[in-house]
Amino acid sequence: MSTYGMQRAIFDHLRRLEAPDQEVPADQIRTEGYELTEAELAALSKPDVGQLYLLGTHPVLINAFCRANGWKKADYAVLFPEGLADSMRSERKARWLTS
Amino acid sequence: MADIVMAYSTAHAPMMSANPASAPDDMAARFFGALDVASAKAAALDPQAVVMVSGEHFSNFFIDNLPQVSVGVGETHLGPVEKWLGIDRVIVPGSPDLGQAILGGLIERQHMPGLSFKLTVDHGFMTVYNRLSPQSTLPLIPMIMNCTFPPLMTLRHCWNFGVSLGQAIRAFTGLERVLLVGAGGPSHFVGEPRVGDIDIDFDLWFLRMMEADCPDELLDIPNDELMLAGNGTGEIRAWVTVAGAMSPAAGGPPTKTTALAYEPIYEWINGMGVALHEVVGSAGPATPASIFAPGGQYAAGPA
Repeated sequence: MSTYGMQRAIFDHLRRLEAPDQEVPADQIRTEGYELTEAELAALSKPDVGQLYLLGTHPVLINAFCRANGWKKADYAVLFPEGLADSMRSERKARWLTS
Repeated sequence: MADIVMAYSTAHAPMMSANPASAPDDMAARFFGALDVASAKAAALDPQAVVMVSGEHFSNFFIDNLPQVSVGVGETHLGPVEKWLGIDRVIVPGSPDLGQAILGGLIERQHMPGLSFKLTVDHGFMTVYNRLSPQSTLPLIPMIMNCTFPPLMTLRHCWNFGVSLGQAIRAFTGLERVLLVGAGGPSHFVGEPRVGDIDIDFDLWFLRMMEADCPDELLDIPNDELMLAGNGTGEIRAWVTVAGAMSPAAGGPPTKTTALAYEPIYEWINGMGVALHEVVGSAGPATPASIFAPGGQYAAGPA
Protein backbone atom coordinates (compact mmCIF):
# COMPACT_ATOMS: atom_id res chain seq x y z
CA MET A 1 0.00 0.00 0.00
CA SER A 2 1.16 3.52 -0.71
CA THR A 3 2.64 5.58 2.09
CA TYR A 4 1.02 8.67 0.62
CA GLY A 5 -1.65 9.11 3.29
CA MET A 6 0.82 8.77 6.15
CA GLN A 7 3.23 11.25 4.64
CA ARG A 8 0.43 13.62 3.65
CA ALA A 9 -0.80 13.69 7.24
CA ILE A 10 2.65 14.83 8.39
CA PHE A 11 3.00 17.35 5.55
CA ASP A 12 -0.39 18.89 6.37
CA HIS A 13 0.47 18.91 10.08
CA LEU A 14 3.65 20.87 9.34
CA ARG A 15 1.65 23.42 7.33
CA ARG A 16 -0.76 23.89 10.25
CA LEU A 17 2.17 24.53 12.58
CA GLU A 18 3.31 27.37 10.33
CA ALA A 19 0.10 29.36 10.71
CA PRO A 20 0.94 32.48 12.71
CA ASP A 21 -2.42 32.74 14.45
CA GLN A 22 -2.74 29.12 15.57
CA GLU A 23 -1.20 27.29 18.48
CA VAL A 24 -1.34 23.70 17.29
CA PRO A 25 0.23 21.06 19.55
CA ALA A 26 3.37 20.10 17.64
CA ASP A 27 3.19 16.44 18.62
CA GLN A 28 -0.47 15.84 17.75
CA ILE A 29 -0.86 14.84 14.12
CA ARG A 30 -4.41 14.76 12.77
CA THR A 31 -5.23 11.40 11.22
CA GLU A 32 -8.89 11.84 10.27
CA GLY A 33 -9.53 11.80 6.55
CA TYR A 34 -6.33 10.06 5.50
CA GLU A 35 -6.14 6.58 4.04
CA LEU A 36 -3.93 4.79 6.54
CA THR A 37 -3.04 1.25 7.53
CA GLU A 38 -3.42 0.28 11.17
CA ALA A 39 0.35 0.47 11.62
CA GLU A 40 0.50 3.93 10.06
CA LEU A 41 -2.38 5.15 12.20
CA ALA A 42 -0.69 3.85 15.34
CA ALA A 43 2.65 5.43 14.44
CA LEU A 44 1.08 8.80 13.68
CA SER A 45 -1.13 8.78 16.74
CA LYS A 46 1.64 8.08 19.21
CA PRO A 47 3.68 9.61 17.38
CA ASP A 48 6.41 6.98 16.96
CA VAL A 49 9.29 8.40 14.94
CA GLY A 50 11.10 5.08 14.64
CA GLN A 51 8.01 3.37 13.26
CA LEU A 52 7.26 6.25 10.90
CA TYR A 53 10.75 5.80 9.51
CA LEU A 54 10.43 2.03 9.18
CA LEU A 55 7.04 2.43 7.49
CA GLY A 56 8.59 4.58 4.80
CA THR A 57 8.17 8.20 5.80
CA HIS A 58 10.68 10.39 4.00
CA PRO A 59 13.48 11.44 6.39
CA VAL A 60 13.09 15.12 5.49
CA LEU A 61 9.50 14.99 6.75
CA ILE A 62 10.64 13.23 9.92
CA ASN A 63 13.34 15.83 10.42
CA ALA A 64 10.88 18.69 9.99
CA PHE A 65 8.48 17.10 12.45
CA CYS A 66 11.22 16.60 15.04
CA ARG A 67 12.46 20.17 14.57
CA ALA A 68 8.95 21.52 15.00
CA ASN A 69 8.77 19.67 18.29
CA GLY A 70 12.02 21.19 19.44
CA TRP A 71 13.75 17.83 19.59
CA LYS A 72 17.50 17.95 19.26
CA LYS A 73 19.62 15.24 17.70
CA ALA A 74 20.11 13.45 21.00
CA ASP A 75 16.38 13.57 21.67
CA TYR A 76 15.34 11.83 18.50
CA ALA A 77 18.32 9.69 17.54
CA VAL A 78 17.23 7.32 20.31
CA LEU A 79 13.77 6.99 18.79
CA PHE A 80 15.06 4.84 15.93
CA PRO A 81 15.49 1.08 16.41
CA GLU A 82 18.65 0.24 18.29
CA GLY A 83 21.57 -0.88 16.16
CA LEU A 84 20.16 0.43 12.90
CA ALA A 85 22.55 3.35 12.69
CA ASP A 86 25.59 1.12 13.05
CA SER A 87 24.34 -1.24 10.39
CA MET A 88 23.86 1.71 8.04
CA ARG A 89 27.44 2.91 8.48
CA SER A 90 28.46 0.72 5.62
CA GLU A 91 31.85 -0.49 4.63
CA ARG A 92 31.17 0.36 1.01
CA LYS A 93 33.99 2.18 -0.70
CA ALA A 94 33.47 5.76 -1.74
CA ARG A 95 35.83 7.69 -3.97
CA TRP A 96 36.56 10.34 -1.38
CA LEU A 97 38.02 7.84 1.07
CA THR A 98 41.76 7.56 0.77
CA SER A 99 42.28 4.69 3.19
CA MET B 1 23.22 42.32 -20.25
CA ALA B 2 23.51 41.27 -16.61
CA ASP B 3 26.82 40.32 -15.04
CA ILE B 4 26.96 37.68 -12.35
CA VAL B 5 29.26 39.76 -10.21
CA MET B 6 30.05 37.03 -7.71
CA ALA B 7 28.76 33.74 -6.36
CA TYR B 8 29.13 31.69 -3.25
CA SER B 9 27.76 28.51 -1.76
CA THR B 10 27.26 27.72 1.88
CA ALA B 11 25.62 25.34 4.30
CA HIS B 12 22.18 26.39 5.56
CA ALA B 13 21.80 24.41 8.79
CA PRO B 14 18.75 25.67 10.73
CA MET B 15 20.70 25.67 13.98
CA MET B 16 22.98 28.43 12.67
CA SER B 17 20.00 30.72 13.27
CA ALA B 18 17.88 28.81 15.77
CA ASN B 19 20.67 28.19 18.25
CA PRO B 20 24.02 29.48 17.01
CA ALA B 21 25.48 29.53 20.51
CA SER B 22 25.26 25.75 20.70
CA ALA B 23 28.36 25.43 18.51
CA PRO B 24 31.88 25.73 19.85
CA ASP B 25 32.74 29.43 19.75
CA ASP B 26 35.82 29.10 17.57
CA MET B 27 34.08 26.93 14.98
CA ALA B 28 31.06 29.20 14.77
CA ALA B 29 33.32 32.24 14.49
CA ARG B 30 35.26 30.76 11.57
CA PHE B 31 32.10 29.72 9.74
CA PHE B 32 30.24 32.99 10.27
CA GLY B 33 33.47 34.88 9.53
CA ALA B 34 33.64 33.26 6.11
CA LEU B 35 29.98 33.93 5.46
CA ASP B 36 30.49 37.56 6.43
CA VAL B 37 33.47 37.81 4.05
CA ALA B 38 31.23 36.58 1.25
CA SER B 39 28.48 39.03 2.23
CA ALA B 40 30.92 41.95 2.44
CA LYS B 41 32.45 41.14 -0.91
CA ALA B 42 28.99 40.90 -2.41
CA ALA B 43 27.95 44.23 -0.89
CA ALA B 44 31.01 45.91 -2.41
CA LEU B 45 29.80 44.81 -5.83
CA ASP B 46 26.35 46.35 -5.22
CA PRO B 47 24.17 43.56 -6.64
CA GLN B 48 20.66 44.52 -7.71
CA ALA B 49 19.25 41.05 -7.07
CA VAL B 50 20.30 37.66 -5.75
CA VAL B 51 19.43 34.34 -7.36
CA MET B 52 19.55 31.65 -4.68
CA VAL B 53 19.38 27.90 -5.27
CA SER B 54 18.35 25.73 -2.33
CA GLY B 55 16.95 22.27 -1.68
CA GLU B 56 13.28 21.48 -1.20
CA HIS B 57 12.34 20.45 2.36
CA PHE B 58 8.66 19.73 1.73
CA SER B 59 8.01 23.35 2.63
CA ASN B 60 6.48 24.17 -0.74
CA PHE B 61 6.01 20.97 -2.67
CA PHE B 62 4.86 17.46 -1.83
CA ILE B 63 4.81 14.14 -3.62
CA ASP B 64 1.53 14.98 -5.33
CA ASN B 65 3.45 17.43 -7.50
CA LEU B 66 7.20 17.63 -6.95
CA PRO B 67 9.27 19.50 -9.54
CA GLN B 68 12.99 18.89 -9.91
CA VAL B 69 13.44 22.67 -9.99
CA SER B 70 11.02 25.53 -9.45
CA VAL B 71 11.78 29.20 -10.12
CA GLY B 72 10.14 31.78 -7.86
CA VAL B 73 8.77 34.46 -10.17
CA GLY B 74 6.55 36.24 -7.65
CA GLU B 75 6.62 39.91 -6.69
CA THR B 76 7.38 38.85 -3.11
CA HIS B 77 8.21 35.74 -1.09
CA LEU B 78 7.13 35.01 2.47
CA GLY B 79 9.52 33.45 4.95
CA PRO B 80 10.78 31.84 6.96
CA VAL B 81 7.91 29.44 7.52
CA GLU B 82 9.54 27.86 10.56
CA LYS B 83 8.47 29.70 13.73
CA TRP B 84 11.39 28.25 15.64
CA LEU B 85 14.14 29.44 13.29
CA GLY B 86 15.08 32.59 15.17
CA ILE B 87 14.45 34.81 12.16
CA ASP B 88 11.36 37.02 11.99
CA ARG B 89 8.89 36.16 9.24
CA VAL B 90 9.12 38.85 6.60
CA ILE B 91 8.06 39.63 3.06
CA VAL B 92 11.12 39.44 0.85
CA PRO B 93 11.02 41.39 -2.41
CA GLY B 94 11.22 39.37 -5.60
CA SER B 95 12.48 40.24 -9.04
CA PRO B 96 9.77 38.91 -11.36
CA ASP B 97 11.37 40.09 -14.60
CA LEU B 98 14.64 38.34 -13.84
CA GLY B 99 12.75 35.28 -12.60
CA GLN B 100 10.81 35.09 -15.86
CA ALA B 101 14.00 35.57 -17.86
CA ILE B 102 15.63 32.70 -15.99
CA LEU B 103 12.59 30.52 -16.49
CA GLY B 104 12.35 31.30 -20.20
CA GLY B 105 16.10 31.09 -20.72
CA LEU B 106 16.28 27.67 -19.11
CA ILE B 107 13.44 26.35 -21.24
CA GLU B 108 15.08 27.77 -24.38
CA ARG B 109 18.15 25.77 -23.36
CA GLN B 110 16.13 22.56 -23.13
CA HIS B 111 15.63 22.39 -19.35
CA MET B 112 12.16 22.08 -17.84
CA PRO B 113 11.89 23.97 -14.57
CA GLY B 114 8.58 24.57 -12.87
CA LEU B 115 7.44 27.96 -11.74
CA SER B 116 5.72 29.46 -8.75
CA PHE B 117 4.24 32.89 -8.18
CA LYS B 118 3.83 32.05 -4.50
CA LEU B 119 6.91 30.39 -3.06
CA THR B 120 7.55 30.45 0.64
CA VAL B 121 11.19 30.65 1.58
CA ASP B 122 12.17 28.34 4.42
CA HIS B 123 15.40 27.97 6.40
CA GLY B 124 17.14 26.81 3.24
CA PHE B 125 17.00 30.36 1.94
CA MET B 126 16.48 32.52 4.99
CA THR B 127 19.46 31.42 7.08
CA VAL B 128 21.67 32.64 4.24
CA TYR B 129 19.57 35.51 2.90
CA ASN B 130 19.15 37.06 6.35
CA ARG B 131 22.91 37.18 6.76
CA LEU B 132 23.28 38.76 3.33
CA SER B 133 20.43 41.25 3.57
CA PRO B 134 19.36 41.64 7.23
CA GLN B 135 16.78 44.29 6.35
CA SER B 136 15.35 42.09 3.57
CA THR B 137 15.86 44.74 0.93
CA LEU B 138 17.80 42.81 -1.73
CA PRO B 139 15.41 41.33 -4.33
CA LEU B 140 15.50 37.54 -4.25
CA ILE B 141 14.80 35.00 -6.96
CA PRO B 142 14.48 31.67 -5.11
CA MET B 143 15.10 28.49 -7.05
CA ILE B 144 14.06 25.32 -5.30
CA MET B 145 15.75 22.09 -6.30
CA ASN B 146 14.72 18.55 -5.41
CA CYS B 147 17.77 17.14 -3.65
CA THR B 148 16.34 14.26 -1.61
CA PHE B 149 13.43 12.50 -3.32
CA PRO B 150 14.53 10.08 -6.08
CA PRO B 151 14.83 10.09 -8.97
CA LEU B 152 17.32 12.92 -8.62
CA MET B 153 19.42 14.97 -10.99
CA THR B 154 23.01 13.77 -11.18
CA LEU B 155 25.79 16.21 -10.42
CA ARG B 156 26.61 16.25 -14.16
CA HIS B 157 23.02 17.23 -14.84
CA CYS B 158 23.25 19.97 -12.21
CA TRP B 159 26.47 21.29 -13.75
CA ASN B 160 24.87 21.48 -17.19
CA PHE B 161 21.79 23.07 -15.68
CA GLY B 162 24.04 25.62 -13.97
CA VAL B 163 25.77 26.46 -17.24
CA SER B 164 22.37 27.21 -18.74
CA LEU B 165 21.35 29.18 -15.66
CA GLY B 166 24.46 31.34 -15.98
CA GLN B 167 23.76 31.92 -19.63
CA ALA B 168 20.14 32.81 -18.94
CA ILE B 169 21.05 35.33 -16.24
CA ARG B 170 23.73 36.94 -18.40
CA ALA B 171 21.28 37.27 -21.30
CA PHE B 172 18.90 39.33 -19.15
CA THR B 173 18.94 43.02 -20.04
CA GLY B 174 16.83 44.37 -17.20
CA LEU B 175 19.59 44.46 -14.57
CA GLU B 176 23.35 44.93 -14.62
CA ARG B 177 24.58 43.20 -11.47
CA VAL B 178 23.31 39.87 -10.14
CA LEU B 179 24.60 37.80 -7.24
CA LEU B 180 24.28 34.00 -7.30
CA VAL B 181 24.17 31.85 -4.17
CA GLY B 182 23.94 28.12 -3.54
CA ALA B 183 22.56 27.03 -0.16
CA GLY B 184 22.59 23.59 1.45
CA GLY B 185 24.91 20.69 2.11
CA PRO B 186 27.62 19.66 2.49
CA SER B 187 27.38 16.47 4.51
CA HIS B 188 24.56 15.83 6.94
CA PHE B 189 22.20 13.04 7.90
CA VAL B 190 18.65 13.97 8.95
CA GLY B 191 15.45 12.20 9.96
CA GLU B 192 17.04 8.76 10.01
CA PRO B 193 19.03 6.57 12.41
CA ARG B 194 22.35 8.20 11.50
CA VAL B 195 21.06 11.68 12.36
CA GLY B 196 23.96 13.84 13.43
CA ASP B 197 26.69 12.03 11.53
CA ILE B 198 29.00 14.21 9.43
CA ASP B 199 31.29 12.87 6.69
CA ILE B 200 34.36 15.05 7.08
CA ASP B 201 36.32 13.11 4.46
CA PHE B 202 33.62 13.77 1.90
CA ASP B 203 33.27 17.43 2.78
CA LEU B 204 36.97 18.21 2.45
CA TRP B 205 37.20 16.20 -0.78
CA PHE B 206 34.18 18.04 -2.13
CA LEU B 207 35.58 21.47 -1.25
CA ARG B 208 38.81 20.54 -3.03
CA MET B 209 36.74 19.48 -6.04
CA MET B 210 35.03 22.87 -5.97
CA GLU B 211 38.38 24.64 -5.99
CA ALA B 212 39.40 22.43 -8.93
CA ASP B 213 36.32 23.64 -10.87
CA CYS B 214 34.31 20.44 -10.52
CA PRO B 215 36.33 17.87 -12.48
CA ASP B 216 34.83 14.68 -13.91
CA GLU B 217 35.77 12.83 -10.74
CA LEU B 218 33.06 14.83 -9.00
CA LEU B 219 30.52 15.22 -11.78
CA ASP B 220 30.52 11.52 -12.64
CA ILE B 221 29.68 10.38 -9.12
CA PRO B 222 26.57 8.16 -9.18
CA ASN B 223 23.68 9.29 -7.00
CA ASP B 224 23.82 6.15 -4.86
CA GLU B 225 27.49 6.75 -4.09
CA LEU B 226 26.76 10.36 -3.18
CA MET B 227 24.15 9.11 -0.71
CA LEU B 228 26.91 7.38 1.26
CA ALA B 229 27.97 10.83 2.45
CA GLY B 230 24.55 11.51 3.94
CA ASN B 231 20.90 11.71 3.03
CA GLY B 232 21.01 15.51 3.17
CA THR B 233 24.32 15.80 1.37
CA GLY B 234 22.59 15.82 -2.01
CA GLU B 235 21.99 19.51 -1.43
CA ILE B 236 25.44 20.02 -2.91
CA ARG B 237 23.49 19.94 -6.16
CA ALA B 238 22.94 23.65 -5.47
CA TRP B 239 26.70 24.20 -5.15
CA VAL B 240 27.45 22.36 -8.38
CA THR B 241 24.71 24.31 -10.17
CA VAL B 242 26.28 27.58 -9.02
CA ALA B 243 29.75 26.40 -10.02
CA GLY B 244 28.45 25.54 -13.48
CA ALA B 245 26.95 29.01 -13.81
CA MET B 246 30.33 30.55 -12.98
CA SER B 247 32.28 28.31 -15.34
CA PRO B 248 33.71 29.54 -18.67
CA ALA B 249 31.11 27.44 -20.48
CA ALA B 250 28.41 29.74 -19.11
CA GLY B 251 29.90 32.72 -20.87
CA GLY B 252 31.22 34.65 -17.91
CA PRO B 253 34.63 36.16 -17.21
CA PRO B 254 37.44 34.12 -15.62
CA THR B 255 36.73 33.28 -11.99
CA LYS B 256 38.56 31.82 -9.04
CA THR B 257 37.03 29.50 -6.46
CA THR B 258 38.19 29.56 -2.85
CA ALA B 259 37.13 27.31 0.02
CA LEU B 260 36.78 29.89 2.77
CA ALA B 261 35.72 27.68 5.68
CA TYR B 262 34.92 24.18 6.77
CA GLU B 263 33.73 23.32 10.26
CA PRO B 264 32.14 19.97 11.18
CA ILE B 265 29.71 21.34 13.76
CA TYR B 266 28.03 18.34 15.37
CA GLU B 267 25.80 20.55 17.49
CA TRP B 268 24.28 21.83 14.25
CA ILE B 269 24.31 18.30 12.74
CA ASN B 270 26.01 19.62 9.64
CA GLY B 271 29.37 19.99 7.96
CA MET B 272 29.51 23.76 7.58
CA GLY B 273 31.36 24.92 4.49
CA VAL B 274 31.63 28.10 2.45
CA ALA B 275 33.06 28.37 -1.08
CA LEU B 276 33.47 31.65 -2.96
CA HIS B 277 33.48 32.15 -6.74
CA GLU B 278 34.86 35.58 -7.57
CA VAL B 279 35.57 37.23 -10.87
CA VAL B 280 39.31 37.60 -11.26
CA GLY B 281 40.30 41.19 -10.58
CA SER B 282 36.93 42.24 -9.13
CA ALA B 283 36.67 45.05 -6.58
CA GLY B 284 36.01 44.66 -2.89
CA PRO B 285 37.71 43.41 0.25
CA ALA B 286 40.63 41.03 -0.13
CA THR B 287 39.78 37.34 -0.12
CA PRO B 288 41.27 35.27 2.70
CA ALA B 289 43.47 32.35 1.70
CA SER B 290 41.91 28.97 1.06
CA ILE B 291 41.61 26.59 3.99
CA PHE B 292 43.81 24.25 1.88
CA ALA B 293 46.55 26.82 1.19
CA PRO B 294 49.90 26.48 2.96
CA GLY B 295 49.33 27.56 6.52
CA GLY B 296 45.58 27.10 6.15
CA GLN B 297 43.40 25.10 8.52
CA TYR B 298 43.41 22.03 6.27
CA ALA B 299 46.71 22.45 4.48
CA ALA B 300 47.81 19.02 5.59
CA GLY B 301 44.47 17.22 5.47
CA PRO B 302 41.74 16.86 8.10
CA ALA B 303 42.47 18.62 11.38
